[in-house]
Amino acid sequence: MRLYKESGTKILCWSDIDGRLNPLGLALPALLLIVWHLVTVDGNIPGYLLPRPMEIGKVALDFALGNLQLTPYSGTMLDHSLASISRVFSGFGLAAVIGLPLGFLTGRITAVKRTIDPTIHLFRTIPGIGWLPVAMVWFGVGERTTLFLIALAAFFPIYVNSAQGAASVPPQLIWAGRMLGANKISLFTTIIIPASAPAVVAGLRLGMGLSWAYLVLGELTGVAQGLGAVMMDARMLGHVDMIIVAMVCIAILGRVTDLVLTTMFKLYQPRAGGAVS
Amino acid sequence: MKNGTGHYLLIDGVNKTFPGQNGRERLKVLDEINLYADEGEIIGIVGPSGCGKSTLLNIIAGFVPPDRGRVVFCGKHVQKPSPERAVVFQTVVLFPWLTVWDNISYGLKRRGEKNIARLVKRYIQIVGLDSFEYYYPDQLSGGMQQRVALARVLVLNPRLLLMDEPFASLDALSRLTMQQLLLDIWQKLRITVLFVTHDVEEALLLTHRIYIMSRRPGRIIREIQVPFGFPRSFSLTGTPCFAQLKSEILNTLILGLK
Repeated sequence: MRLYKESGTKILCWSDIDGRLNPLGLALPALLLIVWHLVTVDGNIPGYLLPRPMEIGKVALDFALGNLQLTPYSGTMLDHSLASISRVFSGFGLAAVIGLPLGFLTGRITAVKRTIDPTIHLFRTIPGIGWLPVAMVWFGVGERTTLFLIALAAFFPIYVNSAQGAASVPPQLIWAGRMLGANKISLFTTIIIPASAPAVVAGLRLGMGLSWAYLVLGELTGVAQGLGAVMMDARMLGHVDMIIVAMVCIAILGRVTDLVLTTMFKLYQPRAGGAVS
Repeated sequence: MKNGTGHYLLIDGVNKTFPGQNGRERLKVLDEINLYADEGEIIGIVGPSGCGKSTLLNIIAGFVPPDRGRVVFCGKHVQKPSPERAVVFQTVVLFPWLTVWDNISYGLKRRGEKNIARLVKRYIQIVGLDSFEYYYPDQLSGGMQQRVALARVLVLNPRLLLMDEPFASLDALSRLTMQQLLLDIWQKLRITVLFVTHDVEEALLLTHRIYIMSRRPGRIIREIQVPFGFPRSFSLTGTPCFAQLKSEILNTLILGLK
C-alpha cells in the first residue's frame, strides 16, 4: 500500500520551500550586476544616464544611514518608506475590506452575481491609469488621489479571484460539511473560506502588486514624502542614482509584502500553503 | 414489500428526473424506487453505471429532493442532510486543509462535543490510522483516505451509513483490506449500511440483502437474500454457492441492460 504521495518542490524566490538557498535564482541578478558594472566602468555611458553599481550602492547606503551626505535625501529612507508603506496598506486594506465580502457574495449567491458582476466587469475594463485625470479633479493631487488609485486598482483582482474561488468550491465538500452537521454560518467559516483560500490569496497578492504600482503613480502627482515623490524630485535634480535607489526600495518592499502574504497563508493552511510560491 | 413506517429506512415510490440542459431531453434517472432496510442490516444496491444509484443515495442522504415519493427514516420524513445519515462518497471528499485528526473531529466540533480527543483516538484505532493523525489527506494513499472518511462519520455514531462505491477507485489489494475492515466494523458496531456498488462480488461479500437495478431509468428489478452468515471473510468468494449466486445476479444485470 502506498503511504505517501510525492509532493513536487516548487522554487520560491531565492530559496526553496524548506529555506535552502537556490543558487540558480541568484545567478541571474549577479550576472546583471556584472554586465552593468562592465558597461559603465570605463565611462562610456555617462553617470547622469546610468551610474555605476558601486555608486548606487553608496547612495543607497547613504539614503538609509545618512553618513555621507551624497544627496539631498541622505538618511531619509525610513521616513519615505514608511509614508509609502502606510499608503499601500491603507489603499490595499480598503480594497480588501470591500473586495473580499463582495467577491464571496458574488461567488456564492447567484442573485448578487447577476446584480453587480456585469457592472464591476465593465468598470474593470477601464485601465487604472485612466482614472488619474478624474481622480485629480475629485481628490486633488497627492494623498487622497493616491489612496483612491491604489484601492481601485487592487479591488478588481481581489474581487474577481475571491468570487471565482468561492464559486468553485466543490459541491461535494459542501454536502460533506452539511452531512457532518455544519449550519449556514459554520459552513461558510469552516468550508467555503478555507476551500477558496488559495484563490483568495492569489487575488490578494495580485492586488498587493498593483498597490505598489499605483502608489508610485499617485505619489508622482505630488506628495511631500514617499518613494514615488523621491523619484520625481530626484529626476528634477538630475539624481538618476537616487531614482534607481528608490526603484530598488520599491522592489524590495513589494517583495517583502508579498512574502508576508504568502507566509500568513502558509501559517493558516500549512498543506495548501506549500504549493504557493 | 411492506408499506407504511414499520421499517427502519423506507424508500417509497421515489422518482427523479433531471432537467434537460442546452435543449437536450429531460433525463429520467429513477423510476418508482421502493426499498427498505431494517436496523442492523447491510443492504447492497447493485446496478450498471449510470443507473441512478448515486442519485438514490444522494436523495436518502438529503442532498437532493426526490420529484415524487418519499424517504422515511426512523419514522421521520427525510428533507435535509444530517449526521445521523452518514455518507462515504465515491471519490474521497476529505477537507484537504485539515489533518487526519481535524478531519475526524470536524463533525464532533460542529456538535459541540466535549470528549473529542477520546472519541477521535478510539475511531482512529478502529480504522487503523494510528500514528497518521497529523498527516494531511494528500499525503495518504487512496485506501488510507477512505479510512479517514469512514472514521470521520463513524465517530458521530450515525444510525445509517450510506456508502457510494467507496472502494471502487482503490487497487485490488486495498479494496480487499477495506472490505474486511467494513465487515469487522459492522461486527463491532452493528450499524445499518446501504452499500452502492457495481461490483457483484463486493455486494455478495458484504451484504445481507441486495437490490438489483436496471439501466436508466433506474428501476429495482430484483431483490436477493444473501444466505451467508456472519462473521464473513474473503474466503467466502471461493465457495460454489457464492459463484452460483454471482452468475445469477450477473444474468439479471445483463437482462436489465436490454
